[in-house]
Amino acid sequence: MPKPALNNAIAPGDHAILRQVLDDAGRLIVGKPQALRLSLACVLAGGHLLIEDIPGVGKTTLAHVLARLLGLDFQRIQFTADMLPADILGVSIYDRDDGRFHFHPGPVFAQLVLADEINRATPKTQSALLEAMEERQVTADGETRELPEPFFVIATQNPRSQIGTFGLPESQLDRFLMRISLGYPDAAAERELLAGSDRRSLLRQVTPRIGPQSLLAWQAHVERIHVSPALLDYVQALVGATRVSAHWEIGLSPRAALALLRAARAWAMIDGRAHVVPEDVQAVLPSVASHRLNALEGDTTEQVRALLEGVAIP
Amino acid sequence: MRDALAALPIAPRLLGATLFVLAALMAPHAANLHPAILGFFYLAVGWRVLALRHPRWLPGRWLLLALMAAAIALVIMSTGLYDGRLAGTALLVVMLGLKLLELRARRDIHVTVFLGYFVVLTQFLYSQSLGLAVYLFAGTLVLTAVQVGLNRVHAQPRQVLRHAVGLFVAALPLALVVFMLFPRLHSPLWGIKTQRAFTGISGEMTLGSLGELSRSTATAFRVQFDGMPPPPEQRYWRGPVLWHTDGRRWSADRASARALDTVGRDPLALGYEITLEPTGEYWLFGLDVVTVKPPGTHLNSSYTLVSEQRVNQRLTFRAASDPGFHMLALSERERALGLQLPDRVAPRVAGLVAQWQASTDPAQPLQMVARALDFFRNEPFVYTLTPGTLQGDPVEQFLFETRRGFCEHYAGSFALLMRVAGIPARVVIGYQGGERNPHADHWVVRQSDAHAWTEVWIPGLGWWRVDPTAAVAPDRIEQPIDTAASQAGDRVMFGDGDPGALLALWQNAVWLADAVDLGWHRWVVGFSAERQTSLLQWLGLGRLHGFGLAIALLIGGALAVAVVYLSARLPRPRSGDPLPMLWRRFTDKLRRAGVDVVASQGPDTLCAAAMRMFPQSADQLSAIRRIYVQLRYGRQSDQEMVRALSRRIRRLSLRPAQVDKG
Repeated sequence: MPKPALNNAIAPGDHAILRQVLDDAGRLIVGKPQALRLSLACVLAGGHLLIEDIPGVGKTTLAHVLARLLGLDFQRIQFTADMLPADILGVSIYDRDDGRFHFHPGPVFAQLVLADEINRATPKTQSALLEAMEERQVTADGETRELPEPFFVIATQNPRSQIGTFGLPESQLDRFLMRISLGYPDAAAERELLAGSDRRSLLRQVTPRIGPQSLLAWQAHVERIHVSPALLDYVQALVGATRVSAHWEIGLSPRAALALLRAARAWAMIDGRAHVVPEDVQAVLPSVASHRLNALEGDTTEQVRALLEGVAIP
Repeated sequence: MRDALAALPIAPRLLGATLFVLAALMAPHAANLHPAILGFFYLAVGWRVLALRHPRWLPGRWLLLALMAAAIALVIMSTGLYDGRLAGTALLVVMLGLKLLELRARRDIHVTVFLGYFVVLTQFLYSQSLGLAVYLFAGTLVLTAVQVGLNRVHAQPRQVLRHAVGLFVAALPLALVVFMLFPRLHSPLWGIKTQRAFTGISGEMTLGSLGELSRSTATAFRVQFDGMPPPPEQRYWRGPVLWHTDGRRWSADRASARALDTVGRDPLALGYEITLEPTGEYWLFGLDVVTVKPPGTHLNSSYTLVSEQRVNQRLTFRAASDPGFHMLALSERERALGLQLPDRVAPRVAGLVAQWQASTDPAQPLQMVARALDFFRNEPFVYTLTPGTLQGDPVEQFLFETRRGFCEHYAGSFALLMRVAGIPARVVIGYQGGERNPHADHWVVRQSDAHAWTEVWIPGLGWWRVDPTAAVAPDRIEQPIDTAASQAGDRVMFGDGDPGALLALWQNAVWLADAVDLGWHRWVVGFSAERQTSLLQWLGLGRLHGFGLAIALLIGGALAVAVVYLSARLPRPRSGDPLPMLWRRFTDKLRRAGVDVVASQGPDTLCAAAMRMFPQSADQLSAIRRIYVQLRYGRQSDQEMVRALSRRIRRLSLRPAQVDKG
């Protein structure tokens, strides 16, 4: 019997290029293929990424590498308690020469923005960024300015030092497609890290694999990854289970279900498939769902795993 | 996974459901247990409900110990321990309440639910009514659903309930086999002592007592005749026979309770089955005159059917009667008793009898009977439920002044008149008549059919039934009393004229409920050792006892389990999408080969695991996975591929890795 042909091959060039991106990134961020793949899926799905981890595990490097590989221009904003919305969005300055105000765009006007330690800023400043993320535009002095395309925010927060910080409320967390954490590298990866050369110099050697235009095409293609009724049944079963279960404060919203589907599509695309299988959903669910759910008891990660084990695939 | 689940804290919703169901299931015990026992239980439930919100309010170990001591004291004080059944039940109920207070992990709730099942069963020690059975059955179903929910990570009420129903259905065949074949005891499990008051005929008759009873429409017993029912004038249901009288009160003779030799088989006898409501008395009722008595009973010298045990529960028995039977025996003692007179007989009464004696032949006692009946027929006597009170000599007052009376007035005064005339006479109380249930083949005899009549001794004929009431109100014998109309009016009314449409509908429903109730009793509660034997004979198993019955039970049980198991394994025909069914067939195959199939695993994961176990079959497995994923999750769907998948699954052979095959 002939092998069923994948008659709907990936549109913008060969999907091997996505593999290459992951391989290149893997050389700098050692031992974290899953986190890298999730981050790439997040970009491809057109969502924003929240990395929750302690300092020094490579959050910034990850953002840098992604920016380089995807050929995006990069801005880093270090959030502090005294930061104002204008520090992010930009400010209009009076020009004495022509007697007019000129808008000086803030650091948010970049294709990839790294918002470091977002929970250090006041809620007002946080919400300025989060609104920009959602609307993909900035309104200042009554004038609306489009943010660049593509636009991708990686925000980080440190879960440990919570003193003097403003944790993101649940409604704001919802703006991030995924939340991941990197964690310590394993022994072998750490040895490689210690023995290898400086990350900064390595970073300079990274050559872009995908340009901004190509990335937009990939993002558009995610929407065309096929989702069968059987898979929708599964997604609905998962979401439904969180709503009736007594383990969660509230269940997943329809927006969360859409996010789950989008992330699963991107995941399938990285795998080179034109359709989503249950495993894709299972792979992305912990990252997509855990920051949207609040376990009443026990560890959220554990509960999400139990959720996956408890829902049969229809 | 299971152990982890057992130690998990209980979801408040499931615990709430458990508490609610247990509280509801315990409610019928209010009829059996002391209020303090149930009160204790409900306090515990209430406490636990409050603790759902405030877990810190749960009692500590010492308080729990103190509560336990209090509970045991409560059981001892409220039951007095003289009734083991009551004390045992009470102890179980309070302990269930205490167990609720130490519910912490899921494991505890399982213990509680099992204890709950047991306490549910104890209610059947007190009552086996259909309503209670239905109620407890439904409650048990919900309790089982809670159990199912506890074993699920995500319990959806409807799903869980469906699962519980499935379990019940699967258990049904085994339950039926055990019900039919489990050895039956010949006597009730508990020597039941009860202080309950029963409605019904008592062992004596005072003027007005039957009239009171006639106001009740409660069922006295139900009868199913083997053949044609006897005509109304023969439908006398014989109860106790009364000998002693003081003029106002008639009572039975203790000494006459001696057993009569069995009448034996009677070819003329009419067979029937009676389901008697509890009376709290020893005597049973049978069609006048019982000639074939049921086992466990005897006929006393007055031909009253007497049971060896008090009828404290519904009793079904078979008997046969011969309406033409002559009770020919009369001992000297009976003659003396049959002529016993009150201390004083009013001169007017004696005068009346003397007047009759003057015009009749003493050798023809029937002439005297006829004169007395004529007297009742011709004088203006009224048959009424409201005769008013009689002062002074009641018989004299009734015969000459008020002339208003119910059957006991007529029977009592007639018997007295006969005794004054020198004819041995006695009063029989029981029921007369009955009404056929239009929805079933049985007759219902109600308390309102309670009746009293007289028997006189006629040489050559024996004890001869005379019903003076029939002389006054012939309709009494033909039709049932219309209770409502009789109470409102002065005279007793008979029959039921033309009921309105709504009333007819209601009556219809009542008859239907009556039929269901009797069916429940006959086929479920009253499934006695005798019925079991006849069922076994009908099945061709003959008389099985002890060991044989145990073997039959084992074989039948195994068959029932096999039927359930096989029918559960049958592929369920599914309309529409064939893919899930094909996939189930595939996973079943893998499971049988030893692959750990988990429902939450995707096809890729599952096949990868299977390929690791069976590297030789990797190609087949991979192809099946590829086609299935394409069909189920990809864009393609064509019948040819579905057939190919089906073919490949059928041909799939899983060879273990160690078997070397070229």
